[in-house]
Amino acid sequence: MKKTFQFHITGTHCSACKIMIEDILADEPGVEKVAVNLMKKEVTIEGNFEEDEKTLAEKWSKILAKNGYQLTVEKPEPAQNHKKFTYAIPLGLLILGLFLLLQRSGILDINLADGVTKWTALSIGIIASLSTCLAIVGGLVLSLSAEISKDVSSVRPFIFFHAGRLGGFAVFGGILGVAGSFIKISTTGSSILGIIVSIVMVILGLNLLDIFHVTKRFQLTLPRGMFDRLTKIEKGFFAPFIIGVGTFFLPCGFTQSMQIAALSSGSFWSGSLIMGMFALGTLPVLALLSFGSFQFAHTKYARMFFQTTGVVVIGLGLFALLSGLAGIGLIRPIFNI
Amino acid sequence: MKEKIIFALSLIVSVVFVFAVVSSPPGSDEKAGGITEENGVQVIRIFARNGFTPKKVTAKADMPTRLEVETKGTYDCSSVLVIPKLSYQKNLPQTGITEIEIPVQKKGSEITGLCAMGMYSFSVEFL
Repeated sequence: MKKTFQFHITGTHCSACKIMIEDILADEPGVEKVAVNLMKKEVTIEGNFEEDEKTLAEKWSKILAKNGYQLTVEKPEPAQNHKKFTYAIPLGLLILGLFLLLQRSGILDINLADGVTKWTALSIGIIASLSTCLAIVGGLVLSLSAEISKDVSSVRPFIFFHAGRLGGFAVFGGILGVAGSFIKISTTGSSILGIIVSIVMVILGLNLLDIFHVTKRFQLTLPRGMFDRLTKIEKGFFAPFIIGVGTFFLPCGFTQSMQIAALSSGSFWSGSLIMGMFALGTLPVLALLSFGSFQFAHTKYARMFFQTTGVVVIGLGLFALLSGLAGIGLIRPIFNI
Repeated sequence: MKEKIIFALSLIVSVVFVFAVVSSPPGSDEKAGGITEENGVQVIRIFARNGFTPKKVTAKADMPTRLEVETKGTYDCSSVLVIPKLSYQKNLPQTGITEIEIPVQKKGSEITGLCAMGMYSFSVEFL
């Protein structure tokens, strides 16, 4: 006998969730039609079933549990606010503390030989990816990855981002090598870009925390439109690729040293090799951040992950912002690690 | 209730931890730096790698001053030095000593040098 049931669903955190839930449930015996309403957090299921509503909800919840969703007949009690942040705030602060500890430990204080070869460029890249540069480049990668992971169901944008970064560094490095001293890289320009990026990071962090669902109506979520565009072209490559290329201009002392080395290298290939190897050295950490975000975003720990990331990103963003403002002489330095 | 206790406890632990990290003295040692006098000119030596050492120097006011920034295998941010007050901005060599003339400073004046990203800094106070 054909029946239509309506269930409440919890654990939906992304627009891709709709497709995922519909796909999973459509494969279940008896199910003919599944429609997920993300706004109302409701699922309407049509089909031929023997079991009653409650049994079905339990049965399907088990199947959906590995993706972090739960079906219920009754509307679930909304979780209390303090409960949501039980782990996120301490965990986020702990990660920030470990980051500062790493900077102060002296582990990264290595006396590297003069004269940049492709191998020193590679090792400088690895050090850079763990250094204070992580606050801005890593923070940006982490916040964008987490934000995008809410909506996309494949890792394609991340692959394009990293391809853009590697390619951009290699090509711009080559251009620096050819142009030589004709080009002067503007430190102030990259500082200002860094300040803009750190503000974006703080906004993304607040979004990830999701404490301002009320203010969302007032368009606090400024970059939302930007990300809609970004995720719409999930199957394209342009936006993530361009952002990857753009990281060439982000402020990072190590990047600037490598740019200067590329400038004085004298040829396209040597400049390209230095910058390319440097970017390759930063790849493991950045890849871990982006692909790790994607992995976490599709488990039942997604909510905790987004919130913890939110705390970390806000911390790194404020750190980078205040440092950047001090760097251009607007305020007195607050941090001195 | 249990959640609240866990939350409060872990929050306290984290805050204490972060505070301990931020306030602990940096572990720099062999990096030489300091202040000397040569023929009526005071020379302030700062070592730049993975931050600046020393971070705070007290110098004499009303005296010709030269700042010497030493780099040794420095690729990090400390190699991109800015001194806002002097409108000074330079990419330091990876290894070497960069001399910067500081105009005679009045008592109580302070000069701050930072790396371009602003994460490392040092200050010279004139007394």
